[in-house]
Amino acid sequence: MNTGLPMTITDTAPRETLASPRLDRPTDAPRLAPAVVRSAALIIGVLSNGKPNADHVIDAVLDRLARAGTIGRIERVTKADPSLPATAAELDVLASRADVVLAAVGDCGSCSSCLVSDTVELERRGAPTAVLLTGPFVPVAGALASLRGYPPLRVVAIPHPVADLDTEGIAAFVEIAAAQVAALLFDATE
Amino acid sequence: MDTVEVAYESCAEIIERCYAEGWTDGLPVVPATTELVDRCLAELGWNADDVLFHAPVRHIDVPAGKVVVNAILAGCLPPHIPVVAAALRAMEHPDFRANVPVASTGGAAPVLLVNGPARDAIGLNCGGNLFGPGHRANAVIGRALRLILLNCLGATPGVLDLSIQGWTGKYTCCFGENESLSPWAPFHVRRGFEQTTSTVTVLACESPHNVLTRVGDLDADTLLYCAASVVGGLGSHSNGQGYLILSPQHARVLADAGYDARSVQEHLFEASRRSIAELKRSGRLDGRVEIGDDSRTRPRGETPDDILLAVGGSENGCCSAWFPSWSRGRGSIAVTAEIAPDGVVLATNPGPTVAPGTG
Repeated sequence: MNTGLPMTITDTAPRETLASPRLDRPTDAPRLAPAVVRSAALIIGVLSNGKPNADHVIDAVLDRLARAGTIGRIERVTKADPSLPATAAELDVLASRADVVLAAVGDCGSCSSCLVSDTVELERRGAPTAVLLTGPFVPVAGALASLRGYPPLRVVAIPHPVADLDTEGIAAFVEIAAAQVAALLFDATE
Repeated sequence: MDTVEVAYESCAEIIERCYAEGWTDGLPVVPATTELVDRCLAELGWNADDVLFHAPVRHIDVPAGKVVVNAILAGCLPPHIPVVAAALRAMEHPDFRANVPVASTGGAAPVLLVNGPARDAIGLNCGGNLFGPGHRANAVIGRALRLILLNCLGATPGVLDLSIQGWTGKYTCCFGENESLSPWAPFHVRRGFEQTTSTVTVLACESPHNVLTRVGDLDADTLLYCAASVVGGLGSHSNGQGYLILSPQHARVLADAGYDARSVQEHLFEASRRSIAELKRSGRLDGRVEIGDDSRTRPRGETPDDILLAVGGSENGCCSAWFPSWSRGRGSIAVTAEIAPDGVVLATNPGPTVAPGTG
């Protein structure tokens, strides 16, 4: 495919300075909060957006993490509206009380962008956070993180659609998802 | 401000460079040279770093300089840009919930309705083909808003704009009310603004649905029956809002029959009712049809005010348009902003509620 008009630019061609319509890049690039050491006393924060099946998926992942001996206690927050960001108070509670956070589940345009925004805010508050997104909505994470100058977030992709799955359907992917959550949140060097 | 240096033999190279940088909506843009940006900022009396829009959810501040750069790319002249800035102030209102319609699979466009003297001052079309091409102000104001969403808020299709289909209003959708041909007080006056005040109202909408009737011997009952079937259409039935833009001839038929704007809204609000059974059978409501669902009904919207009534178009036909609000629920509502720095911003009551289903 021709990707542009044929052009021949000479060395003496005039030059013009164009202003970028994009936001200027942040000067200080933020980082993700460091992963934590695996232990049986960890407090796992949960940020549920209450979407259909979100709590079933979360519970299934927590069950697998508990079997692996990585949960001491659970601190759970459910958002009032999946299409709105979590409140600052909700984020503060999770970031101050939990060692790591699991956020789930993004399976539509608006709820995914809100959940990813929540994830960035939790990372900014120092809480390493894994976010569960269904396949088509995974790119939301990279794009939103990039807009705010963040490196790639801790994203776990799960099948889409997830809303109508039964227990068996969830069980089909939860082992892998839980392993990925653990790999992203827990320090591999221990 | 970040810049890009481009060597060129003709303007084509500069335009192609804008494409290569990913700065366009698919149409060619007017290159925003730093000199043009500075001149434009000076004419507006704006400081490049002053924040004009704080994007909720994304936690992003859009400064005046970037608003101007995108407005120039869209083809704006300085007098167009305050309308863009006022639309941004409206979209910043929490009840508009800007992130949601911008990101949603529903594919909404911010539809801009302008009232007051600014329409004439900037040459905004309120008459024939007001939703179509041919007028610079209509084309560039809506386009500037879209370019800001694309370039500053990252609303890239398939990434942060997850519209399943979208619609062409996402390139631009801005028009004025044809106040001089309306039999009623202008839309913004009925919302509490002075007639001499200029406003822009923003509502996240689906593509318009046509209300086309015969031209001759048209009576109000026939027109309202047809309009109610469109406003109450199952495909977009919800407790949200919508613009009903009546053509001047349609408005005249209703006014001659004794309807004022309020009574049109009240009539259509009641006539848009669908039974709970219909709403369930069509998937608009969850659950199985139960005994009694055939006799219980729901209107389109929550109050008659949710039918945002204005007049637009030419006098040569009977063709009106219903722009249903985005979302299966009341996910985002109309917000009106005065076209003036620090002017009034007014949202509709009641505000948005939890949007069920997909968003």
